[in-house]
Amino acid sequence: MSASLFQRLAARPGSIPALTVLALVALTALAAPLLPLPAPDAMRPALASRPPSVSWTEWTDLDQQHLEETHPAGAWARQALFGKHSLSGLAGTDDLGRDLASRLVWGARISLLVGMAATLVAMIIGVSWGLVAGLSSRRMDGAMMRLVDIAYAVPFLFVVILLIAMLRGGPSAEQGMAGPDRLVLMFVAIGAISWLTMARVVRGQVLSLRRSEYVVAARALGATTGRIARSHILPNLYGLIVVYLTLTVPRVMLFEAFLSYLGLGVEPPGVSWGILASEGMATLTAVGTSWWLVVFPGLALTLTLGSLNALGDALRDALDPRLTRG
Amino acid sequence: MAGLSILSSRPTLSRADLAFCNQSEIGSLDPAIASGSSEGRLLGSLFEGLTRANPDGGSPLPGVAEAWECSSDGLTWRFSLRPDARWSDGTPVTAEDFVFSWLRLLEPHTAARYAYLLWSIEGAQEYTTGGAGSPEGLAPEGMASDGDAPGGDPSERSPPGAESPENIAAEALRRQAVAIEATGLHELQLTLKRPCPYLPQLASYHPLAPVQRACLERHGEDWIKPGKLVGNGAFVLAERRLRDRIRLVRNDFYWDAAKVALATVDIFSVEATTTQLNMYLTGLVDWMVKPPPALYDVLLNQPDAHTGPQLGTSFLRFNVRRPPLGERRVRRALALALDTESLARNIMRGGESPVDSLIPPGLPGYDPASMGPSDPEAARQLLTEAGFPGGNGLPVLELLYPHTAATADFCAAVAETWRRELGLSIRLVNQAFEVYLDSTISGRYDVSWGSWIGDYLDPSTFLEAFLSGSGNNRTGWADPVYDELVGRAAGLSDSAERATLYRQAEQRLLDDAPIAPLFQRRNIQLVSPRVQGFVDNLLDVHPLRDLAVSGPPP
Amino acid sequence: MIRFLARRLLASLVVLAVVVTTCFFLMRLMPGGPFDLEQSPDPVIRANLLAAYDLDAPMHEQFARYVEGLLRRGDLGPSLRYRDYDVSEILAESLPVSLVLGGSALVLALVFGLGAGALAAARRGSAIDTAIMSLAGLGLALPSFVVAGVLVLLFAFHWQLFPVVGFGSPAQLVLPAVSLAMPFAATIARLFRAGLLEVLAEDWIRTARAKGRSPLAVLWIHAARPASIPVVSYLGPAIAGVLSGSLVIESIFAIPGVGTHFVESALNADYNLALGVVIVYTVLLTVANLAVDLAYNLIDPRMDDGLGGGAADEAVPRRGVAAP
Repeated sequence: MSASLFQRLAARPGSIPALTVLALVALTALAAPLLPLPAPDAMRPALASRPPSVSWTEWTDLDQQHLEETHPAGAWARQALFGKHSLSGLAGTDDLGRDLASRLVWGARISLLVGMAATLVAMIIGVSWGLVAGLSSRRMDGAMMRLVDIAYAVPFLFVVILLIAMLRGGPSAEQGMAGPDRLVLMFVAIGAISWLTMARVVRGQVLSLRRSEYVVAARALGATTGRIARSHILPNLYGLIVVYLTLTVPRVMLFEAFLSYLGLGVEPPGVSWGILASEGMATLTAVGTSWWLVVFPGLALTLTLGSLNALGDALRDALDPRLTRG
Repeated sequence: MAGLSILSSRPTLSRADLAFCNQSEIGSLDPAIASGSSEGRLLGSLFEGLTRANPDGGSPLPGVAEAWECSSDGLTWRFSLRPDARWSDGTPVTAEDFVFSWLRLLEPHTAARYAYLLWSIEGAQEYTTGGAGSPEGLAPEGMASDGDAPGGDPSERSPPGAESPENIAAEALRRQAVAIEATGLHELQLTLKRPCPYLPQLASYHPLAPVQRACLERHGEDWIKPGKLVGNGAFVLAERRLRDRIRLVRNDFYWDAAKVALATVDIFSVEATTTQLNMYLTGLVDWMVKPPPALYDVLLNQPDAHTGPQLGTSFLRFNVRRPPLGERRVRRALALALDTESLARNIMRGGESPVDSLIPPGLPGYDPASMGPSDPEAARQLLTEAGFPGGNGLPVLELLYPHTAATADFCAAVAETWRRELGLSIRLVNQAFEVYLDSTISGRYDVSWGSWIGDYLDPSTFLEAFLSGSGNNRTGWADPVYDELVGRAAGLSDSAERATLYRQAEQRLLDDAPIAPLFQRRNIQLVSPRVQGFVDNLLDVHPLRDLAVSGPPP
Repeated sequence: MIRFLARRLLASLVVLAVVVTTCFFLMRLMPGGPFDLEQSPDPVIRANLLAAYDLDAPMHEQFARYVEGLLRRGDLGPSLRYRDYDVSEILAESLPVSLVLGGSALVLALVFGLGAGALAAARRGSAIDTAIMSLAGLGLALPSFVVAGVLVLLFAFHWQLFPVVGFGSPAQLVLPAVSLAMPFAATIARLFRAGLLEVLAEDWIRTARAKGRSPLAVLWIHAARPASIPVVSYLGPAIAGVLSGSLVIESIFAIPGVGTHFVESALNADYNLALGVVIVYTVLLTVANLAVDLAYNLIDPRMDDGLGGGAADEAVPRRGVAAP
């Protein structure tokens, strides 16, 4: 299945570029500690608000310290590769002299992490729910989906905001929660918003698969529900799930940007694309704008999310041969 | 569409003579309850106290009171009110109005935050705190309404609690004992239990403004709505649209109405700074408070930027209760390691000047104490002496701050400085403002961002915040000698003596370093050149009655 | 139909009750109360404040009183932050504003989304199709505040066509409504296009074509109705999204709607206002979902999974895929 699926996928226009872009973004994000860029939170007020340029600068102790704190192995490797030099100002600097290119690259790590983790949470909850509902008796199914209907009416956004505002209460030492843990809770909160659609879709698919010839036959031959789920239903769900994952990640990342705009997202000195976009927005006024602060984060978001969307569409088309006709 | 009909039901207002952006939507128009700088900017225009703010920030000018005098021991004050002072419904303002209003401010029921401003008056503190100091013993007084309604103005609700006749009688007695008296139709007399030389300053502040009893009685909790509100200020309330704007119109009954140049004033309550800036740049408003710090470089060079020192300082608080911050040398080391000069210049960039004291310079008759200049070498020495050479052995310290852009960047820079100079590990903790406040109040922090803005031109407004029992201290620092010095100074009426004692107290504070002074805060605003009479001053007061505009709006 | 409605109403009331209760207690568990400011009031004054607003009573008592007030008098309580206002007054002032903004945005989203989707489907594979779908991709990839900012920069500053901020005149509504509508228009365009393409591939369309109907007529008359099913089922989440997205838009354009009260009340610990907004929001969502499901039934009575709804928010192949 995989080979022909990939072929069909490759045939869709836009899917190869999308995959390429995504691979590049992912690689850059992974390689962030190794890249010859200044530290993302190193402030150099003397270089504030510079438009993009290319220049080599000195890699300072500040930069070294940041890297050592966050990624010791990378620090060593980088030292070996680039020594004391870094390429700065590639995307310009912000009003405190922080290098935008570096912030974009490090921000990609957080944004992608949040996107994938939250989506994973949504997937786990949603798929399990939909699977169980689809395979259960009609009453159970009805009850489960009614809960989903009810959940649809809950203003989750509000609850998430409450949750996050609550989680900020009290220094982390007190509650035994460090910064990264708070991030995890944010994943869960965002993921908890997004699972509903996945549940509905999976359930719908499971229901129709149940009626398919294979399943009916398997049942007639005495297979248990578990066996049916494993061998007949789940494999047919993978495609659907992948499509949905690809399409949910952009929504989650946009939500992270939204939260960052409200000040409820990632905390400084952490950086994410959402923070960069909202920081850029703050300089967008009629008085001299730092266009690079808006354009580059915007481009990053557009390219990545757009590619994800395109890929998701292509996958969906590839999975459903009917649409390729006519 | 139905939508468009809704649009038309709220008529678009024309451009007012003067329009400005207030920082945020105000909490309340009731001068006794309101608290916050946004309220301060407009309440003085609706309600005028015995004195009024001086547009150049100096000594207060006569308001409702034409003249006042104080006895030589500083304990008896007499205010002579002008006979032509009127409410906006034409009725005269009398001394009885002030007695009523000030008692209302002190009344426990009102739960007025600024009731303490009058606590130098004999009997006042006991009245507010109910003598026993607990609210359960309080009974309703004055206007009562539906007992268990969850709504309603707090000054008219009866609290669920004891309402025994003894309590009611006791409270009435305490009210009688408050030494505020109308000795004539236009004569007000106060007897203080300790001198308060800055009382005329306090009298210009909105909590001490008068409210009209008849208006409150007639309208109940709705009295502050447009069309109902009766005030004695230079302006009356024409319209109020929540989160949109408040419109004021000139009060023709105001005693000095002839000198008030503005006919209409619009006060917008937009919160997003970028939006406010856009409104200013497109001429929708003439005055904007607090432009976005990210644009200081561009904005502050223009002629319409008004910047000036503020009566406030920013500092870091050390939680003295948490080791190793209980150790004085550690605190001083942290304070001295900071190069406040470069931090203020490079990060804040609003022209803030570094200070090494709690009280900023500029208070008339007072010279602030001094902690000493930045000295990283001495800081390292102190750390070594305290048993932490090179920062070894110190735990990870948390630096707490509320979420604003400037604060975040500043604290990050502070953390970096400590890392670099002292070898410390710092974790930055960022919280929403209310949560951050709660954390500092309940002592859940190691080091925290802090600031203090003085209410009036006297050192006590700063120093009293750090008394052992003060809720504004929040560091856990307690020094009985400091308390004694401040307490003693409060009882003196000679300003030179008071200044000496206050300075000693401040020096003790700085030597012990429960705080690390950072910089003097700055008033930064954008004011269109068409606005006249706008004078930058320490207290940042700009009474609307003294402003004028030239030329038509853009 | 009546039974269906009755069941849904009952479910909605349950939802409302659960939501209100949860949020009530959730808010009060948050650190920080509504009366904190940089200057802490004297402890006695603070106690007085709390007593005046009932906040010193035990939580279940507060809850009982709140529910009683709500059910007996429809009283949502006083706002703890805007001390001159009751929650109902605030909502009465701000809700119409948000409804106008949201309504305009939805209308714009539908008009542009359906139009663009139809155009793209009709010109499938052409440059127009690619252009429209790319634009839609852009609309989905950018946060609304970035879009709003760029629009303001271009149309309010650079070309000075529209006012920068405010609410009251139709001109002031354009930029906010467009910014708000963008992501939804994009999704609707994609959904409608996909739906149309799916329907157009069906046998009965070919029959209609064979009968000699013109392509345009074919498209709109026959295909539009079933193709709009995914759009209709998207309306539910779209309405929810519009209401929440308006938060940022209202802030940027200084529009005095409910959205800003949403976040403010949570962060300011204005319990009563927060609950009031939650209630309003839940009611709106429920009504919207109900309306959507009714419309769904009207358009396609074939769907009978017993819940009158439940389709995905993106068109998914509803038939099974080939077995492995």
